[in-house]
Amino acid sequence: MKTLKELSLSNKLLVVLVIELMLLSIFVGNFFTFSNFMNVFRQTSIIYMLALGQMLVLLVAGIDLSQGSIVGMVSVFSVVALKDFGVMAGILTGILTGTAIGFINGFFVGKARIQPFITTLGIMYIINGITLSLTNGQPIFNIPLEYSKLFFYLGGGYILNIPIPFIIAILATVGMGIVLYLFPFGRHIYAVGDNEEAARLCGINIFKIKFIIYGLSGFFTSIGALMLTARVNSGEPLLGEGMLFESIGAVVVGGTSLMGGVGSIRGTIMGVLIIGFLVNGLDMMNLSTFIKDIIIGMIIIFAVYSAIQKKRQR
Amino acid sequence: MSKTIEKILNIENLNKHYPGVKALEDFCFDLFPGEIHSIVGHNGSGKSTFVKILSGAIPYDSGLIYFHNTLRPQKFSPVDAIESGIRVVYQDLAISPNLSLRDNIFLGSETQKSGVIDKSKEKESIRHLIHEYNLDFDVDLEQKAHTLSFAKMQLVEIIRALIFKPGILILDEPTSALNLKEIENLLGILKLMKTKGIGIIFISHKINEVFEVSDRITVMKNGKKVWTKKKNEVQLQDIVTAMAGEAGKILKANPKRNLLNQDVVLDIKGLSKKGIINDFSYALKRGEIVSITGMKSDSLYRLARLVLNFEKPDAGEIRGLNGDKKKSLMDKKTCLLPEDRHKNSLFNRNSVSYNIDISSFQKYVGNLNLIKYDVIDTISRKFIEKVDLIYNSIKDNIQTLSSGNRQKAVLVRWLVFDADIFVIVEPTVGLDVESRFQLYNLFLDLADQGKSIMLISTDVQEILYLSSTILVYKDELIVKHLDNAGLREEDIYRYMLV
Repeated sequence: MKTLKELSLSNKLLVVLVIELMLLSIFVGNFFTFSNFMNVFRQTSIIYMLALGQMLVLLVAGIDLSQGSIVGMVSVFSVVALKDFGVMAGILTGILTGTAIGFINGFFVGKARIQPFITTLGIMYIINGITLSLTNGQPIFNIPLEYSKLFFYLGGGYILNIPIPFIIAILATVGMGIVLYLFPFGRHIYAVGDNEEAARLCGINIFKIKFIIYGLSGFFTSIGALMLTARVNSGEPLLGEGMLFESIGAVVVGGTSLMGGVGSIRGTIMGVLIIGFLVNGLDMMNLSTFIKDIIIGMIIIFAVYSAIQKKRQR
Repeated sequence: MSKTIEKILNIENLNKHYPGVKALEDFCFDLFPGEIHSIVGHNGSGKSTFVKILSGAIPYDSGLIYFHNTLRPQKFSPVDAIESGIRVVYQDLAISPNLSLRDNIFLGSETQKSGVIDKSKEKESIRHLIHEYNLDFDVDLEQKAHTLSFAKMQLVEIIRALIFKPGILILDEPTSALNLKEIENLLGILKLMKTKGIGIIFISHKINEVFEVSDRITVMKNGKKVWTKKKNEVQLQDIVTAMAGEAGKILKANPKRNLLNQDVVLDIKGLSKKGIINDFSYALKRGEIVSITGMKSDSLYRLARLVLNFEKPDAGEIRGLNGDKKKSLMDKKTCLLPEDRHKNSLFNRNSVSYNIDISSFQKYVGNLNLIKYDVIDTISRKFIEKVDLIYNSIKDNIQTLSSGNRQKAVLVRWLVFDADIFVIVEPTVGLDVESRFQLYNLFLDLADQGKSIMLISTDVQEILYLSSTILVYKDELIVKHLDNAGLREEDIYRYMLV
């Protein structure tokens, strides 16, 4: 039998989340309602898609700084395609754009062996620059009504009272969970991030793994970007501003190591929800955004500090 | 040692415990000026704990520590230790690669002239010291440290220790990364230090060296002192026995195998790569253990990677059992246990089971390429039992295992993978006698079962114990091909050195 203490230690993030929910339920009216929870799930699903990609990249001891810029480009490209060729074409264009940028990152990191921080920083600037110069920094409106209604569904629609972004997030979780834990590819990801030389000497193809992982980060980012674009119903070149650090913050709170080789989907979900519910609760208390930033910053530092403490105990 | 000389260090009943382990139990130790007092013992015998306490790195539970007959307070910091004249040269050097040699040597206690580092004075002190100890250190003191060989960097550490005229110098496994000639040099320096009245605590696994250089020897086991004796009162065999008990029986030669009718499983022909080897050919047979030995060098270790095609050769070819060319490791039945477990084979942030299963995920897959965990679990459980792996929970981090068990886990990794050809590099560096012999027996078992082993090792006792054929490597060539029959250590050293 596990003692309560052991249980709470191994589920520390869950304990934090439950305490947070209890406190917010007590102090914030209308917080503990079905519709508010669904609202949070819808909002957090978008950042969760980015976080999932970011977690994968961190697992191979990398980092993807280009996520925010990918969101902007996907938003613009998908809307441009959508206006002329319809919703399916728009979605497909968005996904292909994001994934392709991811693969470019993967190529430079995996093949040319440029440090991930440098590679994705450079790509971030390039992608941002391309998006802004093509649009002159202006949003793209005027999606034909026949398309916009269907497209909006992707970000704002519901099936049986459950937000569609949330359903997509669940599908992504299950899919990625299967890949991470049931396929050789998924198990090898951890090895590459933990000790690259040892992984190589075990016969693991380092380039292949990194290439695919950065591609996946671009893929998941594009899904998040599409959800958000659908909600705002326009192609916004600056849509991704701030999203990069939200995604890194959530992943880190979820216990993923920046050093690589350590991290889980479960933790990432917890990280996203802890921050998501907090932001939601503070919003409902009418606190200013600035105060919110202070609190989120403190939570990130506290979470990582307690993870280090746990390691020291070992 | 004359009785009238005052002890420079005296330790009475030192105790230290970690959760669940008594690292030191009523440990007593003393040291005279101008004496080399060695400590030998297994991993986990308490040597490192003792060094850490003396250097002020960790606190102790109880006990009395006197320097020059003065009792030290229970809590003293690394700075206090240095002020008390204690200097430690650790196994893993604490050199900053991008600083100059001079800066490294004076790091933290720079010689200053009106607030600015007095470079010329610093250099002068270093040159004086080099001259005083007749050190083989003819290099530019302003060059960056990373340009030096390991042995030279170690000299930098020693100079750093000596420049402040310490009363006590502690050397923790100083020879484990040095080659024979470098070891000889180091032992020579130690002897010279003695004459200057420095008390030296010498910690090493290598009993031969300890025996050569010490005045007194203390054997530790499980945190306790077994005995302290003067060197001329003991035999080498006494030390081995005291350290190891049963497992320390003197080495016995490898039982001769009949390999005449065995198939060639790995046929290496004319393998060449600049910087590693020139024109290397060998036909490895089923059930054979062949050793390649030489002076410790990077190129010797890279040979293992070359044989397994992790490095591309300039010329030559390698064929497997059916004459197929070896391409990659994964789809064949070869494996590499590389040198430096921590750096090259362990996944230190992951669990014991992950470290064991990692190579087999790709191998045991079913429909849709899904991993067959049940198959892997069954096989790995079998081999974990077979090698007698000691662990708490298979889900614990790999670093919760002892060094010997970590190496066993790496071996299990490739047993589960069902490798037929094992290329093994320096498998027992840093392991105690008991773990060593457990591994040796496992290797011999493997050969009995028809597995083939290519062992690359600089430990001559090890290769004499294990292999039927010994290849001596020197200057990118195999210079001698020896049958291991009646060979002695000296025979092999002769070919390595001359």
